[in-house]
Amino acid sequence: MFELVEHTAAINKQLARYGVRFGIYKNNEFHEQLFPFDTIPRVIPAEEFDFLEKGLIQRVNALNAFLADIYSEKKIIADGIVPEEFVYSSSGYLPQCEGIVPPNGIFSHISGIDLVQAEDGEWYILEDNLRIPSGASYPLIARELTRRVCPDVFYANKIRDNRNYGDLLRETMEAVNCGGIRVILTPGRYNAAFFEHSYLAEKTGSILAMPQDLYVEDNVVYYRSYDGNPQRVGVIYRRISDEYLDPLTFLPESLIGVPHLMEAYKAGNVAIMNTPGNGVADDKGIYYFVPKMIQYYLKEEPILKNAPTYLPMYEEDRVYVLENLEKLVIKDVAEAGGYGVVFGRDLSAEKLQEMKNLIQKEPRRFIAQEIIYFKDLTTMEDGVAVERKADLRAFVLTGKTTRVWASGLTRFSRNPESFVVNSSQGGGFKDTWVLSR
Amino acid sequence: MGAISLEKSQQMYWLGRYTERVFTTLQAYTILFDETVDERQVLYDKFCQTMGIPDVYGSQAVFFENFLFDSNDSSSVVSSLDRAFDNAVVLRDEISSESLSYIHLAMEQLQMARTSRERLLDLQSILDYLYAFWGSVDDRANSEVCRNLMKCGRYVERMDLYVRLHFSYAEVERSYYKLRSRIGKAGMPYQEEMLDCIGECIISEEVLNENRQKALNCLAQLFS
Amino acid sequence: MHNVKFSYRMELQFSQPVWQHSFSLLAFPLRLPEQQIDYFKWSLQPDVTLQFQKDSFGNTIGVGRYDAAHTSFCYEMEGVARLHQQKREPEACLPVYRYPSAACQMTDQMQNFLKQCGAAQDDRLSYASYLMNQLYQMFRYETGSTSVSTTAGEAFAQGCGVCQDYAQILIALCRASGIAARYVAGIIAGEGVTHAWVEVYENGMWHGMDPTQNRLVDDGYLKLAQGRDYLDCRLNRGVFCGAAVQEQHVYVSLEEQQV
Repeated sequence: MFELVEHTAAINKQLARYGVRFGIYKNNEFHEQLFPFDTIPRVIPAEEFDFLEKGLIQRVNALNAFLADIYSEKKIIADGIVPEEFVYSSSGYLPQCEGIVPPNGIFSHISGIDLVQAEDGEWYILEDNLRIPSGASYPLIARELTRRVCPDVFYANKIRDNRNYGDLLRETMEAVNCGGIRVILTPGRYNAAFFEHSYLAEKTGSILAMPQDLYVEDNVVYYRSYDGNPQRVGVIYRRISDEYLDPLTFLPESLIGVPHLMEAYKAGNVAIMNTPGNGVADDKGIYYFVPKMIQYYLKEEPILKNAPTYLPMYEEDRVYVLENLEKLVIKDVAEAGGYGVVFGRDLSAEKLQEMKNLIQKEPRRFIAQEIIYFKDLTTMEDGVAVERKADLRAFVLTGKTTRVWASGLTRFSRNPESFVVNSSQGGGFKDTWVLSR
Repeated sequence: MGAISLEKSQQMYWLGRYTERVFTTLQAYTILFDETVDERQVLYDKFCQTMGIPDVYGSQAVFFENFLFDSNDSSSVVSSLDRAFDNAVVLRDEISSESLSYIHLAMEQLQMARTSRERLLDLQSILDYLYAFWGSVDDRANSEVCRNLMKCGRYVERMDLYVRLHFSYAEVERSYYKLRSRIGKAGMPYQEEMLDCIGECIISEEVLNENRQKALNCLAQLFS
Repeated sequence: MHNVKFSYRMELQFSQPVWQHSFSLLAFPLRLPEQQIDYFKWSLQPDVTLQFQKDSFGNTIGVGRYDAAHTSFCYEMEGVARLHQQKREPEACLPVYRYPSAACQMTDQMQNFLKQCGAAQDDRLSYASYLMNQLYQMFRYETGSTSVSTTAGEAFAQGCGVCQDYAQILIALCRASGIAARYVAGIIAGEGVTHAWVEVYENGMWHGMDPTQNRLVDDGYLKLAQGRDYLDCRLNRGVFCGAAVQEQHVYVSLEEQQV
């Protein structure tokens, strides 16, 4: 696979030709940048993927069960597994969604689960993204183009084809379609992920719609056609966040959004994927409870591990956190004016003490995690092979069944010290190969 | 499927127009440039006048440079190509990534032409890419409506430029009939009497020569 | 028990024609054991069919859409109700009523106030009523000093406001003291405009309190909508196309009927 390196220029030329970009705002101006692609893939052996696949399906099934429970009976709270304040003080919890049962009972249709592999080879879940996880389009098109540039590599390595993502996504949409056309709803051309929205519309044969193209009448969603024949919409894969979906239910000042979309959804006339209100399940604080959810709903032991996490609200955890603060990462779960993410090792003695006092005063406000030392991946930088931190976003699709896409987005950091692998921070991406044997 | 929003229908129409504008103005540019080989000094200001664009160039050298590459000049080729891209990029799902890639290639080629020592050859490649783009749209566009709207835009633009730039009578006549056969299929409401009026203006070469402005005026009011 | 006749009329005037007007109306009185509706009638101008749903807070919500250009919009309703607080029955309490909501967040200033008020007592109802009294002593009623988007914290900081502000501050204080509280929009006699008050939850029941008048809710209060704060109880919401400035007039009445 290292022979791909010499084809870097040719592959990048192909990526430019197909407009593989992401948008960023600089000085309030919109710019599109090429998303730097590193040709050396992440390779996951077949047995390892089998293991990940089982664990990811289990995790997503439990998260779906949790969402169904939270917006109806709330048994997990009544049984004392999840403290209620983690649910009701989460900004992702939307009381407007109480009691709504989405088509086929599925809440998270497309789940983006972020994992990292530690130096000892163990995989850890870093976070769950159950709202609008993005990024599948990049390895999808990169694979297509890499195969064109160097077919030999694919001949020599038995790699599972990942170009079925469009089909998987279309089937996922059809599994909940309430009768009508399939629509991918984008906030517009100047969204950071517009390339992905338009590419997935093409690959799934769906209609790419802007909010103003949709309207609701008598609790039914229609696509406004230029010839005056409105088309009924049965499923919306929306790439607009919850608060902007419907100005009459959520943010009244929202200029994008489809008025009365929530009523149509509540009436069962349209599927929205992912469903509004999913933020309650991918919150920093709720993360701690996912292994417990797996035990509670599925009566199974979790296959994949969380990064070791502590909740200072529990006595035992608090003692540990206060004693080991300098080697932990502290995350503030308070939404506004929070401290964000702090590494204990970066704090001065004085600041460390300040943080300890704060944790004692407001133990429910923080979570603490062990730092995971990522296994670095080889990446080319200016023609030189270097080692960089990388994570993996796995895409798990839930329709008739839950399936894991045999690929994923591997993002790497450009800065050798940084653990932040984010495209807006100048990082790049790699394809993820899953070997077929 | 085949549902197309009003906005998309407009984008298809303008995608047709802008790609045609790039194509035909590049052809005209090449002819004008060729004349400089013999004449040294050509009437670039007259070209601007017939194109109906402001002469903001001041000199022939500036014109030959900026008319191609100045993105601040809304009449330039690069501006038209950017507008074509603006319309194409939101239509990926309708026209296909494959078709859209030819617009990217044309844009890249135009950038390369700027520093190239064989500029006219680069311009030739842009024409090649546009032909490939149109062929690709013909083959891959999701719907007949999309093809019709784009072609309708293309032939409106072509008529306009052919009439302005004194393309041969046969070519004007041919593009008129192409427009005529396409316009009804596009599903956009249009003024039938304007279409007929254009027909009357181009009934013969002599009539056309006397009625160029009138034909252009009618064309401008076709969809009003 | 009171027999009351009530009416509500909301008029919108647009400075220019608007179109594609989507709206949600909440002004349909709740039907409750303590609030029996004997007669009810509503109308809309322009005449549009409404779709009815229950929202998550138990309100009836009527949604509709009018596409053609128009310069005015009017919702009107009237009815007759039997109001009898003693007929209240036990109800469940949504957990969200125990947590801060968008417009009812505590500020440091409010925390200090709460501290000065002293520790919460076992009898939550009397404590809530004590908080209401403390608030009433320090807060001043002043028409026009706040807007519909003023939060509890902002109103508290300036020391004056209207019924919406009294209600939202009391809700925030109650919730911070461990008492579940919700916002109510409705009609009382003699006001001419809609009123807002608070309900607090104790012993499986909701209890009405009117912090603007520093008294418990009696049989002269007709409930139209309830929710976490004002945002959930906006009686009329709408979006439309057109660069118009809108002017809204609301007329309400409630009077006792002789039986």
